[in-house]
Amino acid sequence: MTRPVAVGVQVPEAERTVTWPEYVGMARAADDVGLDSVWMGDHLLYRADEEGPERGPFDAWTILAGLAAVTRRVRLGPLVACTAFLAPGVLARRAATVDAIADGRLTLGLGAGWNRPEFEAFGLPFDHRAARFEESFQIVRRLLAGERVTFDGTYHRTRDAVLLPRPERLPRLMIGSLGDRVLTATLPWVDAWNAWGPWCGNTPEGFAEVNERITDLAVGVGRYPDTVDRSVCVYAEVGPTPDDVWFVEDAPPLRGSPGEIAAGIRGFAEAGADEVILVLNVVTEETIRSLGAVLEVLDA
Amino acid sequence: MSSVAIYLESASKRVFAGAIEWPGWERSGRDEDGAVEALVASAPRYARALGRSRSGFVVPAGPEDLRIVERLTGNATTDFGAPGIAPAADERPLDDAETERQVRLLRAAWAALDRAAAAAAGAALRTGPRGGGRQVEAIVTHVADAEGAYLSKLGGRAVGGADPREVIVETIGTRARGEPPARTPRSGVLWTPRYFVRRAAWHALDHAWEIEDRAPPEG
Repeated sequence: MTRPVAVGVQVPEAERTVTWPEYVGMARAADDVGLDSVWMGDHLLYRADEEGPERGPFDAWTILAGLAAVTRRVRLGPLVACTAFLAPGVLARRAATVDAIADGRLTLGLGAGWNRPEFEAFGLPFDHRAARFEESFQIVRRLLAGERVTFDGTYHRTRDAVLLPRPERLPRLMIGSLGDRVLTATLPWVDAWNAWGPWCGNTPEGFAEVNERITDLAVGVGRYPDTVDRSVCVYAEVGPTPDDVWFVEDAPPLRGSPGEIAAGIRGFAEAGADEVILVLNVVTEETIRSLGAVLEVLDA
Repeated sequence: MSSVAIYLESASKRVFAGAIEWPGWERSGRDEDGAVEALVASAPRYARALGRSRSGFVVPAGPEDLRIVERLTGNATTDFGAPGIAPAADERPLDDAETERQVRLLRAAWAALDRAAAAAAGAALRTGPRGGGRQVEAIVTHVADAEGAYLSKLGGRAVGGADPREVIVETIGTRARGEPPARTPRSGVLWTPRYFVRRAAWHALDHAWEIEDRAPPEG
């Protein structure tokens, strides 16, 4: 039977420090058990407050390039790449290179960024994020489509920029946003839209509600809504209950037996999701391997 | 004549009627009767578009020559103006001969669009009462962009430098043989090859006929 919805997993973002061998183990586990995708958060650091812990993952694009080389089947992508962290042309080059290493398995998730402390710490402008994103998105999209791009915007400029070697294909583009302005600017072009679990209470009902808004916005920009894939990040608890439970309180995770978790995933599919990206507590090679049992139920 | 099997797809504002065995022959109306009437009315035009690929297609004399075999509940795509739900018959596997036929019908729809665009090249298409409506070049671009999105739902991806239509034909063949796409750009539930052809042929013909209807009269 065809799997009713693609299922991916996010590797740890900043919950703990992860070594490169661990990343390799997790991504290969995803490949082995039949997951559809592996995702890596793109952040510079998390800094809760002056007394809180400082945490941060390795550079997303570098890790993705490595994972592209050591996996063979799963799709890979940043969840989502912050356009403010790199000049648009440089971001497009990173994406094209990872897609080449991955032989077409990259999904380029994009977003405007939201985490003010990391912007401030690294001296990145936090103002006019939507406007900056709009300009960056157009440059990145056109470069990846193989165009030569001359762009004279308020925040970004290129002159006869081109990606070399020429990209073999335009990677899948995914927008991670709820903002009307960003969505309106991107829905004519993207392959997929992604919602973060807590935006919709981690429930199919909440997702359906948000999803309907995306359909309306797609129609508003003249896009056939059924050609925009819908993706949702879903909290899930697998394996022994961890001591440090970091899930958001009003977004209860999927939990229980493989059958119960599969049923939860199926619920999101019925609410319109084409892809469910599991955000596990805790995420390790072992817990990713345990998802094989969930997939068996889902595929049956 | 023997009756033609059709399906109806109904949403809150619009109903589509489509022929099960003749992808691309789908028209819409405000209700079921309106959709069926529009389908019948478009039959001669569909036959002309098929050209030499029309073998077996008989223009119905009226709604009495059509037989409704399935009723589907539409969605936002239906209301937006596209047939957005696949009839159950589109789940049927494709053998080599039927794959070839489906591709032939799709190519005929593309050719109809190309002919209409070429005939209207340089002419200003009539605009709507509020001045709206794309011009020829924008219509052709819109169809190509939409086909890129459709291809993604089939499990394919345009490759730099390659003719997108040939990538589509190749991907239809790959899927018809039951093979996974060469590179899987997405997974989950993909469109079936039959539904892909239905949707892409409908879209090409819909816009071919739009160009013809909005082109200034000759002479």
